Amino acid sequence: MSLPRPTDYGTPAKETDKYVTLEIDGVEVTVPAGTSIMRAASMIEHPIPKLCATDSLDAFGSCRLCLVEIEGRRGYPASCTTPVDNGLKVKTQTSKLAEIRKGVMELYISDHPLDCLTCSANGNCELQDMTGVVGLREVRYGMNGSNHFTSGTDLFMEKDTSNPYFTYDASKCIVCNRCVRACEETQGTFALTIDGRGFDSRVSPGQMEAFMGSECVSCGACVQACPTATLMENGVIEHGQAEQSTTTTCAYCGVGCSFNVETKGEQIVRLVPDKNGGANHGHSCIKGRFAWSYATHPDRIKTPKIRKSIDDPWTEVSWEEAINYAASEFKRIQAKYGRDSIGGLVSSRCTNEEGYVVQKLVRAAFGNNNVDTCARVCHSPTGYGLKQTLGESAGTQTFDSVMKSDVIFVIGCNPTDGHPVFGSLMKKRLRQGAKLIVADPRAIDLVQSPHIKADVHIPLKPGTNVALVTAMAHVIMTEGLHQEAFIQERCDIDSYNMWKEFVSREENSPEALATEIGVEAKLIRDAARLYATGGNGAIYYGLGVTEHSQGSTTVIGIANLAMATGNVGREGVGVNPLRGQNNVQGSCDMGSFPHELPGYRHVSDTTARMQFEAAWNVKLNPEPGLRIPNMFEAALDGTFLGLYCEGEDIVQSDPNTQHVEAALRAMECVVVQDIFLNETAKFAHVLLPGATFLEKSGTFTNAERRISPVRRVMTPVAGYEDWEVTQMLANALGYPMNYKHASEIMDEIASLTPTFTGVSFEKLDKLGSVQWPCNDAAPTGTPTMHIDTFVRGKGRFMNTLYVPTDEKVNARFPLILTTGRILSQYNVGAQSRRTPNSEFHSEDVLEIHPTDAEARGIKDGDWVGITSRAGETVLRAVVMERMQAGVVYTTFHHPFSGANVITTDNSDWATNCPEYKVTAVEVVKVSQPSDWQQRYREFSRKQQEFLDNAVAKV
Amino acid sequence: MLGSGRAFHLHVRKGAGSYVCGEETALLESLEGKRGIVRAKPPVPALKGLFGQPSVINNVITLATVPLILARGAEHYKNFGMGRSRGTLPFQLTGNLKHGGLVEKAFGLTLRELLYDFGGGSATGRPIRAVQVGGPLGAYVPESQFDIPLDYEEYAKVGAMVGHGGLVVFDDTVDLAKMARYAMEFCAIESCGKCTPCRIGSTRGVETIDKIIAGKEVGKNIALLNSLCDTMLNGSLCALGGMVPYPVVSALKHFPEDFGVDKTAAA
Repeated sequence: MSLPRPTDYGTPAKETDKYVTLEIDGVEVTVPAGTSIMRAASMIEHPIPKLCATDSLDAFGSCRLCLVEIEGRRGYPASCTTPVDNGLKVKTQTSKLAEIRKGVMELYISDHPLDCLTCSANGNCELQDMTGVVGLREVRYGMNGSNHFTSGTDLFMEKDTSNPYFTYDASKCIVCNRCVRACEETQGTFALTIDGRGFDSRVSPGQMEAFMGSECVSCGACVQACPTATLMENGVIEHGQAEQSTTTTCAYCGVGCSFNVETKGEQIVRLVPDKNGGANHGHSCIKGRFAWSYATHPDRIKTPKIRKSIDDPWTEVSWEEAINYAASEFKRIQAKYGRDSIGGLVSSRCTNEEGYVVQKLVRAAFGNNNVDTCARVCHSPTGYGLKQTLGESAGTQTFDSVMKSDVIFVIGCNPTDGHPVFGSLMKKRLRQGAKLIVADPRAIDLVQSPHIKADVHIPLKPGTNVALVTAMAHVIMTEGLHQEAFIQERCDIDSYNMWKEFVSREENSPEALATEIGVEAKLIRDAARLYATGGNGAIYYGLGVTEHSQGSTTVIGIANLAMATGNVGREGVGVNPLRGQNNVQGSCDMGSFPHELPGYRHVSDTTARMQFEAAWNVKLNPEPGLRIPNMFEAALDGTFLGLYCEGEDIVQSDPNTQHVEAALRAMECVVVQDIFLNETAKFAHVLLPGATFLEKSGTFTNAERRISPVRRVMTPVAGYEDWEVTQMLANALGYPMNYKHASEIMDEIASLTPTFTGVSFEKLDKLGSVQWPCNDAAPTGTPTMHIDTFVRGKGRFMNTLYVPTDEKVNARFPLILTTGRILSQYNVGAQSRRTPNSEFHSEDVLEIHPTDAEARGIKDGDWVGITSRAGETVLRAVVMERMQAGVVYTTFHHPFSGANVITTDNSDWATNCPEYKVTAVEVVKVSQPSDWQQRYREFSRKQQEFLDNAVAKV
Repeated sequence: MLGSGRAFHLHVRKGAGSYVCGEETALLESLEGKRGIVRAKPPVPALKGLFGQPSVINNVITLATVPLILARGAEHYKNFGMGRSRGTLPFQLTGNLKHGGLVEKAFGLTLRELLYDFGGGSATGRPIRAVQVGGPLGAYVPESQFDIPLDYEEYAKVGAMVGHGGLVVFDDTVDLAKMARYAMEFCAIESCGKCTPCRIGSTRGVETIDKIIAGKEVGKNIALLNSLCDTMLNGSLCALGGMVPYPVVSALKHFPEDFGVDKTAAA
């Protein structure tokens, strides 16, 4: 039995408050005006045959199966393209309609191979279903006419297997255009078209290229839309149709797409985006939809291991022994160096429940507050800046809100690569006519791509965000473009007056700051005017804002702009941090910062602390603990010697790699709990196998505060979900934890966190997902925040004085290096590199402007050494104009690239978020890898050998 | 313009030779720089047309009529014609005629008048057997219908159409089975490929007529051809697939002997 398909209403729902009533097959039905007859009929369960219609795409009207009769109208209108109207009398089934439908179906089948029993879509094919529904019994034309399925004939095309994830078999194509329309409407890439016309028509990637060679970004929307086996996942071709389906949440980026994992037993057949998913509505990207095979990769760590020194081979031991060893080492270190000499890291890749348990382990079992998370190195300035100004450390909107925006201001983020599913939604809105401002040193795809063009692109110099947002505020206030009434009603007036005076100063004008920012003053004025006066203005930002020495200041500046223009508190507006990782919002919510308990309550807050002390039955330390960079410093000082690191690769992802390596070497017990031997694990003394998102239950919270269920579909390779391992460690340390299921942890979180009081697994199963705050005041969650008042009461303006970074270019380091991500790889790449996604991006390269390249005699493809004040690495150069002259760019998905060998220790003044985005460098042509890379290669080889030769203890 | 102080912008765009791009919505797609495929209606172009804006679409004949109406008034124009078909139409006389050319007449005259009074009979001097009226998708009109007035409604009654007023004249050497095949072939060549009846049906139509011409299961294949024409007529998205049954069915109906069927048996 293959899986039932969800109801497909044929055409999208219409949002309107006008309703019309009509009669379909004698049944009276009232539906929103503009609804198609097809959808209305489907709503009363009178489904009309269809092939080219699907409710994720606009009606197309090509298959001609959905014809109906309407009283008083001539002919047989297509129900997908005909809207309802008051008083219509529609018949969906008559003998004439049956005859036409059969006639159409006979034509379809006359050009379709009759190999249903051996077809990959067998059991899940809309063509097969519709042929059955219309009752076709014979193809009177015979099967020997002109066709696309007889190999060797002119029209026959060989299967395109160039894409690693799906196969295009043109012989099965019914030219419904669903794939082409999905590529346009859903994904917005416009990679597909129909080649030829009439009978010759066939789907074509680009100009009859192979999928891999075309513009296709492998989002899977075409495969999802295909009603036949023409575009089919290779998983289904290999394994057959699945028999079970479990809804879970993607573990890649902060969009948090909902997926149905289709399985047969433990075998995953495919992941299909869930059309009920609140964040993705049935769309996906190459990572979430396809790049999950790392879960069964041979590199998975399957057994616990220990060793005395990182220069020793590993010994395979039982879970009990590994846990006891880790506990005894932590106890030994604490006994010798004091209670504060150990700490732990909460993973933003793990579930909320796992994050909560880790911080609880640190605070309750370690007895200190030395807990931090990778949000430190990405969005900690968001937490700080938004809390200070608006009162809550989170984005203000839903993703869907963008569909009501009139002006979209994108600063320091690259949604089409970093948050692709949201990027597609944003592009959809832009194609509908919303205006776009992009502030980015690079010409990212949004600046110009098919049917998208930024109205204003500000190619600012890296490190000048604060100058830009302050200059924009200057324009808004001095030209009177602000919303005085909103400010007077909603904001703190003293802070407003102070800020207004500050930004209005001549020194903050675009003209005064233009040289520093590196663009014409007019561009800044244009952007400010457009944002302030173009209707609903929404700001989207990412790590290009936060990862700077003034990251927090820019976040504050962004909040100032939104408040001054009244762009907060309704749909279509807001301040929207695009969080990097699947659960970076959640890990922050769960109290993983050293100074905050779950729900962002400061550890020095006695009321909050007492609540946790009572629940956890332990005395808590009121002093904030160490942040990640402080841990490294303390390790080198000899005062921090033990670390529990779950699901985070600090060696590859934190800045100044050699500094991090030295800190880890200085520690006496590093416990790494991970799914692979990542870079950090190479410095570990205890290696505990982690579980992938497919092997555990829990929840993730995405960038729009949406808490979504993660549900186990496979048995963890080493037997335990990650929270169970943490629990064992707590018990071994003498602090009892007795959760039987992740849901019990969520129940405890709900009982202790005011914004989560209404959250439970039961509710998530019922609603699909909820956006926090979810409590008595908002039992089904809060899509838009700050509606009537700001969470902190009055919105607070704060001055944003621009202070240039200390990381300055000079004669020795004349270029600025900035870093970013690419669509097909994810962060440190531990997961995505172990999937066929590497066929799309196999190495990190250095993007360099032709002017800079020419001055250095660098040609496309040359090896170049990149040297900063911190270190040196070698990458292959790609000469392109996407970067501005004076700025070079790379990604950091491959450890050998050593991108973070060159980044420095500079960091945000408020939160220590590293200044990844600005490093002064020089680039020269070289012929061999850097010293660090050569050392890395040798060290990695040795560590891999230690793992491969691990001996089981007898 | 004519001292009125108003400007009239006329921009002529050259098509790439696709027949279906004469269909109003395919024309819009083509003007927008897209593949020339037909749009589903509604929305009609008057509400959502070129680049999504309300658009009025007229053919050249209509535009050419405007100066006369403006100069002489609507009443003057309305005086010409018959029934609901008012005014004049420039008939295009082509094919096997002594005098081909353009004849502008009020609606209501007969085909016989056009063929013999203006066209002077066939160029070959042989009897005129069939006339395709209204373009490549028009019905073949047999001699028995030459006296029906050229009026939209009167023609519709007999399954024919006035269309754009084009006449293609054939003498008694014509093989209407070949002409029916030509109609299907024309449709197959010009089909945009969007809707199934036209995309696949036109090719199957050619193949089926070929079988009939070859004498293969003639009765069964004629039934199939009629059934296909019904599917195309009722199921096609636009007039290309929807009207190609006109020449085919009229040929079958009026000239069954050309398809190897006895005239009395066919009736």
